[in-house]
Amino acid sequence: MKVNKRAKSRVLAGVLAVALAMPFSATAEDLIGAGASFPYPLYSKMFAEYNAKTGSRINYQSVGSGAGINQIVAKTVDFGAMDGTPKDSDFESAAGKIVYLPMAKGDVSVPFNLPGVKEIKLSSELLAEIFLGKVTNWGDKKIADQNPNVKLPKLPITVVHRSDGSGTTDIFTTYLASVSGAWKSTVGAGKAVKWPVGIGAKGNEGVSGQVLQIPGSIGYVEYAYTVQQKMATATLPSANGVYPITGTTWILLYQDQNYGGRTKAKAQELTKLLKWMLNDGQQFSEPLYYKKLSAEEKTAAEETLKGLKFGNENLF
Amino acid sequence: MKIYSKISSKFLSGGWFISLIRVSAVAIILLMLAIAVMLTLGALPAIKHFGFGFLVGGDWNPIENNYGALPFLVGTLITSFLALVISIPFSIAIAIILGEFNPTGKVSALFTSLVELLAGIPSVIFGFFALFYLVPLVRFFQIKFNIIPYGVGIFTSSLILAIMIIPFSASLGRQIIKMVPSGLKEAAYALGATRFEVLKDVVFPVARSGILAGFILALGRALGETMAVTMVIGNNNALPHSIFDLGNTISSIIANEFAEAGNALHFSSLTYLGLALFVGTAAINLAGKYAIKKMAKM
Repeated sequence: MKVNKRAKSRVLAGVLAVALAMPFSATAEDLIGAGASFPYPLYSKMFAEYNAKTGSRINYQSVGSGAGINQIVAKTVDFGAMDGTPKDSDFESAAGKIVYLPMAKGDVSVPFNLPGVKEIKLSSELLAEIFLGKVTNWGDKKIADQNPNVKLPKLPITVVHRSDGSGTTDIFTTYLASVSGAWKSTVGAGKAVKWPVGIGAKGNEGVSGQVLQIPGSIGYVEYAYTVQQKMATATLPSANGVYPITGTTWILLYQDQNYGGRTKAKAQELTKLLKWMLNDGQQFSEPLYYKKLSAEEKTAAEETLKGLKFGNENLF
Repeated sequence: MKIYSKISSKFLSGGWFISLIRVSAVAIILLMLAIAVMLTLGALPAIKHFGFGFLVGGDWNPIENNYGALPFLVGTLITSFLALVISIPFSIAIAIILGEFNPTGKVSALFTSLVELLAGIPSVIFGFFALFYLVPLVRFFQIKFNIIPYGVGIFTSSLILAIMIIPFSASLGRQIIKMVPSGLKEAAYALGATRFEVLKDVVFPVARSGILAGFILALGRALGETMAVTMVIGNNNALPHSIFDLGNTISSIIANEFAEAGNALHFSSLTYLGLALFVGTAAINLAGKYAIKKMAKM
């Protein structure tokens, strides 16, 4: 009985030792990032591939763009991540210059639910009017004029939007503000806005779920969701053959990597990773329904990367 | 050996146990205070900026950085009280059947544990149930009665909240009704009272304050419920005009916007809402306690 007890306490001590050591078991080269949830599937894939290739481990926490900005500003992570358009005001309280690198782009689609209708064309002005609550029925003459060959039912339009603050909303409202003066002056663009009409649903899955349920509804979700759920989406006028509602997702980091007792080796590890993500890593975008960076975007990002410093030393 | 017995007697006297429970009790009070202080500090920028006008402001606009709590206060109160009203007949009926008419036996035990099981189901599951079954049902009736067929909205939220809070009031009511001294009831029966008369004139007056306590517990649960409500209330930040309108509650707007509230005033306004909910829930609980005391004396 006594031996048994001693054995038990030994096992317990062993378990405790392992459990206590776990948070500290990360090696010096392990990198920590936090931020946007939109690129999370892509980053997971990239980091797993990078780990298989180099053995480096990257821990990415998908906690939202806002939290990503806060954490890089507070220097608690090696890199932050965000969607939408980085603004200088986002980094006001940062103790140093923060630079941002584009990593991938993603389309925001406009799914709709009209019984018997698979395709519909909407001009950008009309889309804004629908989301402003000015066009309220699918039988409206304005919609019929743009879709002469479609038999449109006389259904009230139910707008479905995101209820949670999100980069997807930022991309979509930025687009509406760019095509509609009325939208720009009455609603504006951002991660959360004051919606003139509609049902709010949480997450991309919430919006696509509501659109699938409500006849006469229209919403906006990340492209991947409309593909996976096989939803009908509105055709919007393209700009030079490019789908117009697109957003970029960014990695944020300090230009001077010498902070918080970080080693130069760690800074170099980070720059190596980012260079790989901009080059080899891009091949994982399209299978996951993201878009690759254009050649110009990639060149500009690599220039930014070359500007990184460690104190007075260059990292490249 | 002597030392051992000394320690043992000290251990057995239980002084350490008294200290332990004292520390635990004080810790709970400190925790409450810490939450209140944390919420107040977090809300301070918004309190300074908007004052108490925040509570009656009807506009919530993160782009223009203007925040008012009225739509959410109204949403919270309507959903919670409507849920309470819907739940009352059901929970009283359950409490009477399981507490007075069928207090023992296998069927009674089965129903009692089923009711209690209902209280243990995670709220996200209730949310899914509401989304997939209640929403289409409500939409069906909305189409029939020519109301805009959102399906989601304040009424649907109240329905799911009512289902969620029934076990709280029903199970407390059942226990209280069971505790009514049988001597009182037997005396009434001996005087020729019917079963209904015993229930109306003996059981209810005795159990009244306990049943009320169950309703207050249930109301508290409804006021703070977040997940299920967020899933079916429609998350519209305008002041609701009818019970079939879309809306938002304090907890659902916090759940929606807290993670991405980048702007300091936005963040602080959400904390201010949290503080309002904290104070409001405490006030309703205190008022309830007072009502229970008054009733118990009657």
